[in-house]
Amino acid sequence: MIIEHVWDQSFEGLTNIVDVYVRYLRRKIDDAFAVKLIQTIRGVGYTIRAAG
Amino acid sequence: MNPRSLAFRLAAWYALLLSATFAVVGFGTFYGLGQYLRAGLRDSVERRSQQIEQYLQQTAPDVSDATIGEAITTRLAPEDNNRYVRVTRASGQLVYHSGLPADRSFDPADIAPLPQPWPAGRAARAVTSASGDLLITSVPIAAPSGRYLVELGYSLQPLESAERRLLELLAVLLPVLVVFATGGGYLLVQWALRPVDQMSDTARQISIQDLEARLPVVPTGDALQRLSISLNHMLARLRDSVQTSRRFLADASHELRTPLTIVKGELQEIVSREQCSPELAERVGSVLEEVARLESLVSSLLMLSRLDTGDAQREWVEVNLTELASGTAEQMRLIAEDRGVLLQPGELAPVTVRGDRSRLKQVIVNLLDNAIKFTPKGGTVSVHTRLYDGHGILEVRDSGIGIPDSALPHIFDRFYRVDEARSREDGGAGLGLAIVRSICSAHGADIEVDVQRAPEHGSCFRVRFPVSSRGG
Repeated sequence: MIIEHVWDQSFEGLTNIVDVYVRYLRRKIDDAFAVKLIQTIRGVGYTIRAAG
Repeated sequence: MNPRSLAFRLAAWYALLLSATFAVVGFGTFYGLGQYLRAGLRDSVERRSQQIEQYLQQTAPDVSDATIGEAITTRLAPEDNNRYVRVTRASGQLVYHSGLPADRSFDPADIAPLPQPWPAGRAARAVTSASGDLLITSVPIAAPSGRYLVELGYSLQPLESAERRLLELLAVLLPVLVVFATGGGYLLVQWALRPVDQMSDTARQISIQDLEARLPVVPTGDALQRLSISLNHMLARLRDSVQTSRRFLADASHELRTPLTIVKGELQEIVSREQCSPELAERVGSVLEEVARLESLVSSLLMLSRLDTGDAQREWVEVNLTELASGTAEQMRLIAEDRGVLLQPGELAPVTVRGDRSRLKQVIVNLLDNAIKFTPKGGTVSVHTRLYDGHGILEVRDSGIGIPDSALPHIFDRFYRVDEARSREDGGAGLGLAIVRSICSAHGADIEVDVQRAPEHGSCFRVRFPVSSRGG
């Protein structure tokens, strides 16, 4: 899980820290393009792939 | 001195009983001594009197008064020996009357004649006269020269002054004795109750978190020893039962994790399949979110129960609290920014504490997360560390909505939420601050909320750590 790799267990259970950071990534990577690379799979997480 | 205390009441009863005892003893002594002295006096008066009686019985029938008087003066010297002597014939005629005694303790002229008829045998009487009191024995004698009444007396003055002196002595000595004995009794009771004080001191330090401490057992072999032993047994049973329930919580949360992980894995597998319809993905995703919430709840419970069972002290190291605080604040800066809250480091003086790094970080994360959640857009959250009064202080201040007074005593309780609706929406189960407090108490730290130090009616959470080394 992203949260365990990047931060540590202290953040477990809280918080939308990953969502916040992914939103920042999206703003930098995907906002300018029509084809989004960062996809959300609800309940699972995030993936990088070119959507069909 | 507390008038309701056991020591005071015992001392008061003790004083009362002692006073009563001393009063009885004092009265007995006084009365007994008086009786004894009077008996002795009477005895000696009678022996003197017998000398005169013997003489009178040996006299010739025609003996003259002058001869009798001379004989008495020779044998007894009443004036020099401070004695009273009077010899009277049956007709009432005075044969001999002693003069003023050398010590002038009485005046013979004040002694009235014994009215007729005289008592048949020997009799003693106390005579009160203006000049002094006397004990006089009288005896009628049938002698060859006729019938006489012999009276012989001693002054009661020495006896009375001895009695007075005894009374004075008792009046001074007994109250002093009572005061000393009562004071001593009070101190003794306090001394005897000291083990009870020690027991209550120890008992006060025993909390549900630490049921290992035991009361001191004083080997007195009495009720105190039995009391401390019984209380210790009770503590042991209490500890066992608390440990059982903690173990149950720990086991339960641990056992819940595995099925949850399996459920989550299976559901994620379904969502990740290519042929999964968007509608199904949406539904399973919703379930997965709830599973994630359950997981976080279970892991919070597991953490709490681990802290409760006391296996927190395993990996203690020196932790640079300042660095940890500023680093964690930096990691969370974006979350704050996302909510329009300014998260800034405050005064960060170097503080080092001993503890478990990841748990201490959890404290900072939970406090910051709370502060950010409850601070409206445009507010500020700051974190501070400093050394104060022998403690390492960690403070998280916010300009948020604050905590109502009625909620203050409960905010560290498990599953307590100030505002049900608002917290649920944020995904909190009401365990964040409970975890913070458990971690703090495992580190010997205490946590408090200081509304005064918070900017703009927000909150200020202050954790006070015992400092591990000087200068940190």
